[in-house]
Amino acid sequence: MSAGTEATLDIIDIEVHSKSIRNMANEMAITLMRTSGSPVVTEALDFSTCILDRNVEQLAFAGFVTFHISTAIGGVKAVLRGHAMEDLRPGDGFLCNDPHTSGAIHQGDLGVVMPFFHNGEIVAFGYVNEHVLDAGGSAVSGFAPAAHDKYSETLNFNAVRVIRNYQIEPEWESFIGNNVRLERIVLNDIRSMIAANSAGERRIQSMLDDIGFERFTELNEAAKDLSEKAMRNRISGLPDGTYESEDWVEYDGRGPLEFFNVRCRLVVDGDQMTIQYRGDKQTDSFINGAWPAVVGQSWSTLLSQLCYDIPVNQGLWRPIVFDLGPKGSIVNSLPPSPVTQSHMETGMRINKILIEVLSQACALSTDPVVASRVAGAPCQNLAFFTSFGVDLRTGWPTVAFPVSLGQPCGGGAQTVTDGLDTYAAQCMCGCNTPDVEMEETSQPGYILWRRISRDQAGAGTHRGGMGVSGALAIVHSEFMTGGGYNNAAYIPARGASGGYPSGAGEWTLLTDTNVFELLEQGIWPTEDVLKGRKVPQPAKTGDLILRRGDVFSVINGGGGGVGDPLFRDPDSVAKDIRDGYVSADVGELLYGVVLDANQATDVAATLAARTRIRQERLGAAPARTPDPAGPVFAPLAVAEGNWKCAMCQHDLGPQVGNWRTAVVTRESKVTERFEEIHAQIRPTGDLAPVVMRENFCPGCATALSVDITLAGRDLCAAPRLGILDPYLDASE
Amino acid sequence: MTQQTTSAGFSIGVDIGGTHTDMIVASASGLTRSKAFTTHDDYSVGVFDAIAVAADTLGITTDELVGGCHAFINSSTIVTNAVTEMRGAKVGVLITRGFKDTFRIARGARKADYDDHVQTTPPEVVARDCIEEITERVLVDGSSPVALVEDEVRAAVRRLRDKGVEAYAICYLWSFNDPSHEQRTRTILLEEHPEAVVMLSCEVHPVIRETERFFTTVFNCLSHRGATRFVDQITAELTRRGFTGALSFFQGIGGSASGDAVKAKPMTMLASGPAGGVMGAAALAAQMGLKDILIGDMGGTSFDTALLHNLEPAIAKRVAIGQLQTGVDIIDVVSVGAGGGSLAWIDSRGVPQVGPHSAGSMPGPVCYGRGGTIPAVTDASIVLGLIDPGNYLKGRHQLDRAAAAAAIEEVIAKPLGWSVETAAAGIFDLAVINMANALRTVSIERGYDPRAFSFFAYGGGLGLFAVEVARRLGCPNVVIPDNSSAFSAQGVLMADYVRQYNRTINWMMSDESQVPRINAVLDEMRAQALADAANDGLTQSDLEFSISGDGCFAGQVWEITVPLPNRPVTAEDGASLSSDFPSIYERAYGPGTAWRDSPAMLVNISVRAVYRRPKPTSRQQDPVAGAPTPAAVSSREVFLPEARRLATIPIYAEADLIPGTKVTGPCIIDVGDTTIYVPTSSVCERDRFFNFSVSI
Repeated sequence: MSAGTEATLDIIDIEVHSKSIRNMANEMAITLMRTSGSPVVTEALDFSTCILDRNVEQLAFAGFVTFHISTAIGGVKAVLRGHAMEDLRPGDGFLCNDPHTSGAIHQGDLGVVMPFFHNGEIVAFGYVNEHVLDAGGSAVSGFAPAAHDKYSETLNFNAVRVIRNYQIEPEWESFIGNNVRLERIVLNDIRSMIAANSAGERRIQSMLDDIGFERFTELNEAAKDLSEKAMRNRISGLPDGTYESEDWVEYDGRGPLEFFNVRCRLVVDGDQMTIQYRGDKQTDSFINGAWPAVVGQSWSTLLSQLCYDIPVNQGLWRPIVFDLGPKGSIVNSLPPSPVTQSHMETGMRINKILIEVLSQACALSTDPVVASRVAGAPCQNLAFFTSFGVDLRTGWPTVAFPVSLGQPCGGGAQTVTDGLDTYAAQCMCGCNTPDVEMEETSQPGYILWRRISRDQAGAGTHRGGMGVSGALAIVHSEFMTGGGYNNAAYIPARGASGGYPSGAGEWTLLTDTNVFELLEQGIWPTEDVLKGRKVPQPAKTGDLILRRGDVFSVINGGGGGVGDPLFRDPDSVAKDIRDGYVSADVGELLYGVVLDANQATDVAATLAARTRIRQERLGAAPARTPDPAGPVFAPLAVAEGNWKCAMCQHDLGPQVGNWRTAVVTRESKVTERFEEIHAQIRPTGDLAPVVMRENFCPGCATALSVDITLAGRDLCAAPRLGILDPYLDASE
Repeated sequence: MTQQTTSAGFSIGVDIGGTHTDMIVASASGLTRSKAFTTHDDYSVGVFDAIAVAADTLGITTDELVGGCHAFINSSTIVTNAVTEMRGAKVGVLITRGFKDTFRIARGARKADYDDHVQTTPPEVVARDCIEEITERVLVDGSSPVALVEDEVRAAVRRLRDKGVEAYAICYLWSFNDPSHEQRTRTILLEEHPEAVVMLSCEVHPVIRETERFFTTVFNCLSHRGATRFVDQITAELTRRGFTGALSFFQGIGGSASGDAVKAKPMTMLASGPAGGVMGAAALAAQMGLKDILIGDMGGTSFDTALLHNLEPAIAKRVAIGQLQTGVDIIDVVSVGAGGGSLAWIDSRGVPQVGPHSAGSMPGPVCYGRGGTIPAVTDASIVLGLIDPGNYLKGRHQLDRAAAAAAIEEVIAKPLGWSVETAAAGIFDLAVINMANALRTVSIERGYDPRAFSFFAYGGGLGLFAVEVARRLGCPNVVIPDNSSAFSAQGVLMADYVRQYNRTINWMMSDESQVPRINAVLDEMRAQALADAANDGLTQSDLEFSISGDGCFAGQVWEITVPLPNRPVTAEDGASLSSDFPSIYERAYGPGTAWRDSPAMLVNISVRAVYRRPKPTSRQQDPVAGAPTPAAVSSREVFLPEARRLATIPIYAEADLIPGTKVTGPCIIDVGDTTIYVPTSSVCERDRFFNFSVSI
């Protein structure tokens, strides 16, 4: 696109046009919400809508689930790989749910692609994607921990024409109905996706009646150019250089506990950047990543952290290269690898690792807007279950998927605010935590309690958001089978710039309970009176059996903190203690805040406690005092070729080296540290323990970075400013 | 004037804003407007100040006006202010054990915004130590396996009472299925705390989804004290002064209700002022033959905007207060903190800003001389010379230009090294940009091109800014209505009486055994409508009834509107609606979309009662072709904000501008209680309805 077009078009014209298209995508979204019967859509907003042009470039995206940004492109490309453009007819619809062949994030998220016609010509494509309540196979609601390959996971729709003339073809209708657990609901939800696409097509047609295809195209291209320009400006705010980190995908759901290494390298070069991922070999379980989830979850980070204010269209993609490395790894898996948890296992790690790497770059930016985007990671453990059985109230088969239990994890702390409680996963923009009354209507039981999880938020100058704990008693089904999931049971969400990690999530199944005994006595089964047998369970399983009276309870973790907790406003800590969200001993241990008899901050005792903690960090009284007005969210800086502590100007060695060699580091097992602060974490058993390395400035004892890694690993990498050093084993 | 003729003559609409109380008196001879300061200590004082001004204009006594008034309709900002500022009664909550954090969880306050910096924990409406858990439980099927533990209620109420709680929200799960626990709690509560205000979630909003039900209940508690005081003050004073007509209060959804009705549910008054303005604008635009209009209303503390496409006011259903969901429906208006009282300040980057903080009416802008020290938008207008400090509100209030200039000098000009006039022009521009951005929200961001819309600008302060705002948006013309300064008050008189009654019935329409139950519900709602209308002085013959329903396929969560005959339903209706539903549905959503194997269900049924209120007569006159430009009544030195230079410009008196007259900017039109600024080279014409119309 030439700069000339932009110059000849009125900026207001472009803006009105791009907002109108965005509005159409929103109208498609509203149509889906209004017509769907799936609480995953109507309450948790687990869906997206997108409009693309004839060249399969995005024009607008109403993504409540941000990672679907990649699937829209993948889905339409898959349709055009298998079908000539001239073979498409008005009212055709193609189902796409296979990460390997039709661009989906996982098979549970079913995409419907429909060409939009105007005067007999294809002018655009509509894409609607929602989590359907079931997609068949061994996966209950699209999660298949028991499968060893994609064939045993679900039905895999590879962009096949299931819809003609806006109707599901009768043969397909019969076939799909025969293969999914909830025939009526799944087929009707596909009809809702047709309705959403039809709404978009009608709006596009009336727009083209008004402005014609040529003008439509001209304005679309100008809007893409504007987004591209804004994205390039934003990337220019990141200092040139190479930033990297590593993390692990936890446990593949069977056999002994294993961790799967994933690495990320971000290379910033002027107004463009390359995002690279590498990982261990792919495995035979549902945790494998594929292109849609890995790139889609990268966008979850980018949209929230870097380009939150730029209209979403193809222009955003242009300055970025995604490089997933050689095929066959966990970040770039090949068929027949199973991938039903692609988005929530490898994908969620990709999402978090990119937050960390991007935060490293933001913290060194001289652009105040970019510098302010340093953030802690959200927890997004998503400890939940899906199961299948018969609902005793109706006698019909039912799929249980209580999103309000597993979804509300805490968000990462931000430089401008504490993290949001009940943030859920970063990709779930605008999601609701369904009301108890909606859950008790659609799910097979009673919500026994639901509250904020105490002591699970990562400490920091701004702390992470808090998660929610809750419990569901199975009442309306005798016997249900399915899976239990938790993608972050062992490795906690990281903080940034000296902020601390957060408690991980956990789920527990209590069987042989006294639920009905208590109810018969007129007593509600609250946590203090509920009794039963705790069944030992791995963090994820495909063998979850729920019987009537069982209680599935969840603790959701919080988000990572940002900035050293010793700089947190003591009154904020005191309020958290009074409100019961932080225990008094944790307030003192992590924040050095002591309360007086009236539950207010004891100023003198707090000062003394903070001084004592700084001494403990260094093993001696610090020689320097941190500047109270110092850049607490960017405690590391570079000056005259050397790293330094920005809080006290202490020198930390040459910039070409790793500043971690010049600081005081305290390594401890996460399980031990978390026990002291009442935070949730699973021990790793025979595996190398997960450790926390607190890196303190030797001058002023400020926490510069709290690293999470495995015992015995090398030092975490430091940013390499001005050096462009991508992985060289390029993508296949 | 005899009592006999006046009682047929007057109806009064009043809009009590944060700063001003605006009034329109309608009589056979037309509309008379008046204005006074809002008196927050006792709202009736400001109302009677305005009545006195109106009576004076009409040449009668206050008692004659009050005694001769048959309808008195109020809209006010009182509830809106209480809930947006989270200021009001100290509220305590009794909630089902295990769910104390419902208000903190707030259905997950994640906004549909990618930006993580705006994802902030919602504000605390109820202090956490004023939320008490009570053992009790009702279930989805209406059974209650766990009885209410009454001793816990007593103990909790005593603790809350000792903490100074005045109003209690009783928030139990599933209480709309079985209200007995909430009802019993009220009884116990009042034994322990007899003077307390108690609201039950099952009465305030008896609808599924506890977050909306509970927040609606809490907000009703929070705003109850202010709303009650307001209604009681107005009622008592009007009665004392001999008023015998119908007194009613405008609602955010349009239409008015009795004082008792709004005291029981103060949240029905949420956004009632803006709703009045929208109704008035729709009525005026219809008269002028316009279909698409953008609306702007600038008050002392806020700027309200709405977009009317085909003159249909949009309804915002289940509105959120910030991130907090309620079950309240209102006419859709977007409000931003940009009014005459919006304060100017310099942010941490050294960039001047205007709003969202406001000086309100106390202390008000610096020029009011009530102790304000931070300059507001009105202070900038005075310093620029756009407002005559000696003739504000027709000279009833002297404004202090020197104090305004000193404040702008101190807070803005000196820190930035600017002249006072340049700083004042900067404040003027920022106010314009804030308003233009708000209008963008309702137009461009919703896919409408503002260049196809006329901009209706009203509210006492907007005349100074309207043309510049429209210019920034590219609107082709601005309409500043006659009675612009009291337009919301005029709107409440223009609006029909509309009451809608909704009930959840969940009727599988093919099931004819349910027909008697449905008709019983319809009868009940109709009886309620008649009783409420009687309270407002209306009889059955005044009312038009219509019936509609919300239907869906069983298993869906949202409904679509289904037409119903205006009579009792029959089994045949059910059968035909049931078989027609897929085609009704496909008309809305397209072919192939109707659900299969899922029966059609009528979820809600609604009865709507409408009284077509006689519209007050407003003045009209054929434009005189080529009407000569009248002589200016005076001239004034103004620092022109669009040109950043000092100029002496003419001032025209409103009365000299007959329909057809044109004046060219820069000039000022003095309308007495409002001032219109016509910038350089814009032309303002008086139209047949006495509106000021400016082509951009």
